[in-house]
Amino acid sequence: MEKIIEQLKSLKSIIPDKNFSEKSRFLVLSSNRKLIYWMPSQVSEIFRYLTATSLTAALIVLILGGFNYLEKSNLPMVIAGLDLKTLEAEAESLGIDVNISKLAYYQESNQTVKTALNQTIKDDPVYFEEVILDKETNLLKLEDPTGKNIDKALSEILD
Amino acid sequence: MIEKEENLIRQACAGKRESFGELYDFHQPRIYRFIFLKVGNREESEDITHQVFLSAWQNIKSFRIKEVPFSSWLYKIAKNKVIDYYRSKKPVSSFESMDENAIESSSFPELLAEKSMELERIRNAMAKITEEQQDVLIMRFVEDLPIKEVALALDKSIGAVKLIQFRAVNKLKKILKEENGENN
Repeated sequence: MEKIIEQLKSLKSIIPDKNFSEKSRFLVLSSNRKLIYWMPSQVSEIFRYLTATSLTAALIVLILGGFNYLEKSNLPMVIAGLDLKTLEAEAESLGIDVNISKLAYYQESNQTVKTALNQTIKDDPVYFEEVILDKETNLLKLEDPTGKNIDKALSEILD
Repeated sequence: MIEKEENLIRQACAGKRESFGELYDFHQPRIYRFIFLKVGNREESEDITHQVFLSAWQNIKSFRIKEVPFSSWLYKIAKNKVIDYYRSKKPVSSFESMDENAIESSSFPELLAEKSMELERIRNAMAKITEEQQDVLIMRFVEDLPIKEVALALDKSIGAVKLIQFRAVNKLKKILKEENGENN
């Protein structure tokens, strides 16, 4: 540790050139200083506080004024999404539209079903008559899979 | 010096050039050394040192005697000027690019060849530690600045400076030990 500190202290041997030092000193001292207007720290504090407060107030007024303008203005550049009256009117008309479309659908679907049923009964009413269907089933004698008539018909076809 | 320095600063603030001249004479070699160890080039170091004192003279009215020591203020200016220098000119490490002839030049006739070699070894070892660690080692051990002044110059707490110093010394010790091992 001590050796390192000793080694570091040896860097003190680095010194600036005398000519440079004299020339630089002369140039520095002969240069003009910047004019700094002195202002007590308290005054500058108050000034900073007032500036910050007034800027914040101006920003708030600007934001509120902007919203107020958008709300009241009738210009086409007004954003529709921000206009509450338009939004309310749209919401109400949406409900009415839904109900009307429902009624129209029910009316139309009733008519369609009625037409379809009439058409079916007219074209092939047998399928809808339960009694007829039962009769048909009995005639077929489904419980006897080896019907003699069927066997006869099949052997005729094969011959 | 402190009491005398305060008077000199007050007089310099009032526009007395001779007073600032005295401050210049006392601090200039230290600031030059700090810059030279960071930049590694004699001419560039001279330019930056000149800029530091020019800036200090022109802005001395903004210096608050009770807030920070004058030396810390000067080191802070020097540090910023070195940062500006690297930002605008050379993106390489100062120690690695150090002017080989600088120490052996006519500016340092008192240095013997052996001493010069020793210096070279330390410089190379310093190149392997961080900029922050370099600053602390230079200010603490080359310039003998108190920890408080180093802390104020680097905008750090006293505890942080102590920690940086501890790590820097250990790292430097390790590097020098390794280099000795390689040489033997």
